[in-house]
Amino acid sequence: MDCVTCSIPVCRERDKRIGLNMTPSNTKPLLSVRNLRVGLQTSHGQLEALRGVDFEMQRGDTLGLIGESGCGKSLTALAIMGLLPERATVSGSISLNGTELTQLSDEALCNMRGARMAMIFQEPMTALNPLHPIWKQIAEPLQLHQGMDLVSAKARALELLERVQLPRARERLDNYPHQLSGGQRQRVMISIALACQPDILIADEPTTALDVTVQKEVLALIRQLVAEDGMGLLLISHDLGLMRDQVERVMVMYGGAVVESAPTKDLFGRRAHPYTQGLFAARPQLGLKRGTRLQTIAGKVPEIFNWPRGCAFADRCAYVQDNCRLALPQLELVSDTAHAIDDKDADKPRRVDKHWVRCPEWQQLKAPA
Amino acid sequence: MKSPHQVLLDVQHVSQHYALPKPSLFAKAGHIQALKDVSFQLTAGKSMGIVGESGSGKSTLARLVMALEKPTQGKVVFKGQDLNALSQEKLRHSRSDFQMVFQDPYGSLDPRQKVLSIVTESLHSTLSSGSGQLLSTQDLKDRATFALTEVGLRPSDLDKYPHEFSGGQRQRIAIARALITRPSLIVADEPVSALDVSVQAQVLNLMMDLQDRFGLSYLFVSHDLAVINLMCDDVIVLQHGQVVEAGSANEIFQRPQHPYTQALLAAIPGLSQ
Repeated sequence: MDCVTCSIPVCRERDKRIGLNMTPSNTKPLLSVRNLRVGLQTSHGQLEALRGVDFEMQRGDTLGLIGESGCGKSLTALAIMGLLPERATVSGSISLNGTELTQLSDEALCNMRGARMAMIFQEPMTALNPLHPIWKQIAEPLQLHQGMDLVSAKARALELLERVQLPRARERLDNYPHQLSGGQRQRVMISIALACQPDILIADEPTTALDVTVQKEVLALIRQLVAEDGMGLLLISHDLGLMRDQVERVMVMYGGAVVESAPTKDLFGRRAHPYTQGLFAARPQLGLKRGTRLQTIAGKVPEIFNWPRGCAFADRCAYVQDNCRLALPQLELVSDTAHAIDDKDADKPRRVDKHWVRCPEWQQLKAPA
Repeated sequence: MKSPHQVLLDVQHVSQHYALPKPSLFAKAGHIQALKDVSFQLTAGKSMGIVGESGSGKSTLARLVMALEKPTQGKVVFKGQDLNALSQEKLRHSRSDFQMVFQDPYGSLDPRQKVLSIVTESLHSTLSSGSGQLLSTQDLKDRATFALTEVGLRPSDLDKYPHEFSGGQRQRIAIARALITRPSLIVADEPVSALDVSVQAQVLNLMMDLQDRFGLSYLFVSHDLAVINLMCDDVIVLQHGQVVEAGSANEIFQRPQHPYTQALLAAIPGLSQ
């Protein structure tokens, strides 16, 4: 069999040369992140910006990361992609299809990026190169990872643009990014990300810069393509409503740690962490009476160099106990919904949708009105 | 501040054309119609929401109301005065009565100025001209302190630079800058869309409090219908520069009539279930 990613032998030889294990495995998770910690060297000294992030994804999984600026969402994504700044120190494990990413050399990581894992960024105008026509930018990963020549790469670029439903794709091949609208640019970004059919797609606020109606189309497109290719989708957003529509499972981050993790449906039914509750209560919703004051979370997000030793939310929390300030609370199980396993998926690992919360006081929380 | 005028802002049949670059030297330059025959009235103390997607003419309308551009056709009448008929001098003077808050709290504050000069700049240009009234340094500082306390910042923040503040605090500074001339109207162009959910809630609450306290009117431009629903009494929906639906916010969000409004509402994520 050919290379699992791109079905061409060239690629397999390259992988062998750099020591990648390309055997797909059904027993191991597609992506496994274990106790991921990221330290940053700053003028304020050594800071811990991620304080132990754990999660697993299987093929076809859709996982959402939600939280406010500075909570570590994008840092998690960049750590997986190996795109952290050089002064960052990473500990813990990130394993994609059995390959330990944190141990890879720069060259090996380069070969993974774009081929096995890809990322869609928030602002398509700055993520695309303004000096190159779009087809060249789509062709780049194809030439790099699959050894395609320019002619076949251009032909493939057209197929990809048609796949992301860019209108009049053939005429647009030679366009530059500035000639396209925001939604069209994001479609180009998506086609670049999907060019080599990666195992995992990370989308960091992919539609924040777009209008709602365009946002809806682009998200539907991402979902459809991810399902067709059987990728894992890690979607980062601050929009709770968007998560509800787009992902099966949500992780809420605050202060560099995952504070709550639950199947989307469960999370919308019951918010177990005080921060998650505050976040849900603070968003304006249609149907609120004009002039209704929104509920706010007291205080503000602590500066990264001022993070408390314990729970980062402690100073803003109405349920805080002395223990919360001493050490990061452990994850506690809120509910445990085992999913029925289809016969045809019998060889797949058992899928259990657990609802976790990092708060010792979660049982004391009043149910939101 | 009570206004004797019932109708604060009267936008009458405004259209705005922008010339496009000539396709060739001798070709006739085309134009793009950013606004077509837009009319609405804003009552003192009330808020009007402008909804639409990018390119619908929202921001053009905001610029016309701020008298930053002259409309190709139509009139913008503020407190009974046609803004475009005023002399430069008079216009500058009346600018103290309508102020603007911008979307990007990072781009809209001069990074090289201290908060004190940012917040008081409009006082120099508006007050010192028309009325000939000059404010002493102490007066300026007092007014700035007052404005800053109103938006929930500390007087000691006057001596800091914008980079020392978070996004939400910067937007508070921008609001203080608008508030300091004691305007009757604040045009807010996407004032909370760059902010996090919990910060957004604080800024929206602040804007509602200020409206209650000072009887302000807001012209609120946003793509977020839930925010408009919360902040505004009336709404106009713009599509391709035209008003496709106008009316009370309640009515429009509960029973949207125009297909475009319906599409906008249907596209809000999280509402499908």
